[in-house]
Amino acid sequence: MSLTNGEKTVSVTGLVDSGNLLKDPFSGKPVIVLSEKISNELFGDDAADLCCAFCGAAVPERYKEKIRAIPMKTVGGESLLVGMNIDGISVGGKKCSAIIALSGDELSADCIVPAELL
Amino acid sequence: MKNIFILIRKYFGKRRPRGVYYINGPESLPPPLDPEDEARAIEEMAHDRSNCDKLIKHNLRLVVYISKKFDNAGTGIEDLISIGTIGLIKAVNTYKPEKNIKLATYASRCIENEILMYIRKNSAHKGDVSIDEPLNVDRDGNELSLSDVLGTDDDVVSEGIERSEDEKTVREAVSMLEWREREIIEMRYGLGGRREMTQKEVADRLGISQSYISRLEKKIIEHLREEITAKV
Repeated sequence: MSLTNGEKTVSVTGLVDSGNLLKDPFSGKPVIVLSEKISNELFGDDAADLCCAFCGAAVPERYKEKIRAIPMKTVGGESLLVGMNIDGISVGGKKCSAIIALSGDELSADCIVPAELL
Repeated sequence: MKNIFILIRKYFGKRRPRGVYYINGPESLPPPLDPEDEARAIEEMAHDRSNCDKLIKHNLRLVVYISKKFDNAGTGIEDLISIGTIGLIKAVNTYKPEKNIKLATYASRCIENEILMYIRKNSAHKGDVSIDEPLNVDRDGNELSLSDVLGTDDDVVSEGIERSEDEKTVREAVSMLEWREREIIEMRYGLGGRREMTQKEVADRLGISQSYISRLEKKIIEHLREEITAKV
């Protein structure tokens, strides 16, 4: 699958997890969770700022109209993920409509994909 | 015996959610906090910035409410939601309880400000539409974009060719004129990159009267017309 942010397109291998039922509460779109490594590749230096956006880090101008707050409930508790409405996502060559979330963490794969996007 | 108990539990027991959801988000926006929870959350934030999640999460409804107010054809509401969220983040991070204002009130103002700033900055782009933006999606998920629908006039190609042919014909006809006649036409009609001159100006330039220029011009045009129609 591939992710496009502005001029940058990153090719990644996603792990499909039927347990990922995250949805953007406003648009209802499914959410793909990115590992820290892929966030850095896709957003470059801005990745660190974006991860701390809720705690007051300055959000770069060009991302202001793309940012989303994604509430998340896991076995470990509740939290809020920084979501991004990036320019293009394609899974298996097919364009799809989803939001990506920056986990700021190392994951077991490049990104975790909800089953409904297949 | 055991089976009866199982049956009873099945039909009268409280419904429990099936399994444990690994990663789940609310299907809808989280409701606002009640005053005690909110006060506690604000205190937690004062201790440690990273506790902002709760306050932001439970005020997202406010962002949607305010964004909807500003939703018009100009800016997409999805963008407004993002901008509104920025406003909420700023509000939560700069809120001071001692200022005697409710968080919701303060946040509303911050969210509105952020959205208004954004709209003002973007007013130049207000009516713009992207050519690739999908206009309609049919049942199979095929998109129809503006670039598919935009067309051109039927004669857009032939029009260009005809015009350059006409230009060539006129230029040739004019070049066949006598020196003075050619001068008059070139000056009057701004040929060769000059500006168009009035009959009076041409008259002054050539040292003759304006009325004579008028008569000459009529004759020359008639002459040109004959030449050109003869060719065609």
